[in-house]
Amino acid sequence: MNDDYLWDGTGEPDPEVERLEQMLSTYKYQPKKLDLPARPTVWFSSRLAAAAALLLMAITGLLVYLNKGEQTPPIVAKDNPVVEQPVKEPDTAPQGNPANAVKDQDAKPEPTGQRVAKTYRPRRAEKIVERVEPHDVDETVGGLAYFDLETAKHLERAQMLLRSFKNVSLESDDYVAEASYEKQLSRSILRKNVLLRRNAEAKGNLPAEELLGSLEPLLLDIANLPEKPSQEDVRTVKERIQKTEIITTLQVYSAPIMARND
Amino acid sequence: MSEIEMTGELFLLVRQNQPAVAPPVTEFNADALLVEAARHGDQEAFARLYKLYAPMVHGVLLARVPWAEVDDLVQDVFLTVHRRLETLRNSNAFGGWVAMIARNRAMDFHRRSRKTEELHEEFAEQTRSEANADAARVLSVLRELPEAYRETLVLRLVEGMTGPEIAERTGLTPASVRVNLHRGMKLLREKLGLEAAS
Repeated sequence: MNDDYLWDGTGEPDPEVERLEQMLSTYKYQPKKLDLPARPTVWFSSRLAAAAALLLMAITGLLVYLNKGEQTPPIVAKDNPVVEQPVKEPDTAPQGNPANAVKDQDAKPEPTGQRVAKTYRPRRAEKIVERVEPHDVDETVGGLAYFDLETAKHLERAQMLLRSFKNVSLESDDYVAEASYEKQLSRSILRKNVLLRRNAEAKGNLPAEELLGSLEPLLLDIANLPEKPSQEDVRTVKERIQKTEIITTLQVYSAPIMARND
Repeated sequence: MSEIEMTGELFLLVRQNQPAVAPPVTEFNADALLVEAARHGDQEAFARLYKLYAPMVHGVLLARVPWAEVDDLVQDVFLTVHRRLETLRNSNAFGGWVAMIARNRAMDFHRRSRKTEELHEEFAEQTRSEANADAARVLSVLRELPEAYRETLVLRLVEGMTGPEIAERTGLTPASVRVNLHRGMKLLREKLGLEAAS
């Protein structure tokens, strides 16, 4: 057996291998044309990517243009008859004790003034409404809508008086002198408080009337202290101040207005 | 034992009778340049690769599937090669990669058309002359040989490729091809009853 012929066709031919080759040649591969689908080249791919990018930019530009055209003026309740919640005007807001508002100050504030209709509107329009009315929310939270500057100054003075009285030390006899001073100051503030409360009542400003009304008993207690109050008298008033948390309430309502007018 | 690792979606095959793979070629050969050109969309380069490797694919398939099916499967294999060419990581391994696609395509053919295989074979046999019947018998005996021997012998005896050409096209080592040819031929002689004559 000639391995060289079997290996590479060289050397003396092996008759059996030759015969098998001749016999099996009928099965030999006959060249045929290969039909290939068009295969994208790198050049074509890059051109295709560029075209896609241009098309995307054109679509984006068109959408931006259309969005600008669709922007309509904010839709507000007064222009729309379909309103699910009443419009909250400054004079008609919270009927309860304003002092309670301090406990709820962490809650989400309710917007007042012009209110967006609750009927379906495109989301974009709602966002525009929210963007143009944030100052209304601030006014409600800080009490800007209910208290004028004069009232705010009064509330601040009352707050300082009550804070000073609450800090009176009963461990020494000095408290008598301090209480006497606070008593005189309280009478002055009390007169102003009565005027402002009646004024608020006349205007129907219930939040202001409620706050000034809750302040008045404490001012009266201090103003009506005896000439030489006992420790028990002072302690009782101090406890009432502490219990009502009136100092914090006064600060919440007066501070934003004072800060805005500084 | 030999190991053939394929890229892309092909399988990792470890078989007792699988021929050994040539060690990785580090330098670019002419075929690798054609592969690179084809990967970049050069259709002429791919046509050249088709012309060079189609006989090898034909032989690999003929060793496994009915003769009447081979031509269509060759086309299928090269369409697959054309579609997946970008997944080939080493251009020097193109031959082994194509051979593996052909082997997988043959296995896939048997999975999908097991019921019609005999019918096709009978139909094909009816169209041949008596002389070709002897060739069909030899081919049938060839297909009964172990896989490694049968593939190498078909490439040598049917496709007329030399041992070095077989090694180059299939990615096998020349030594492995030589052993397969020698042992395969010995087995074929035995099965054809030619042992005494030699």
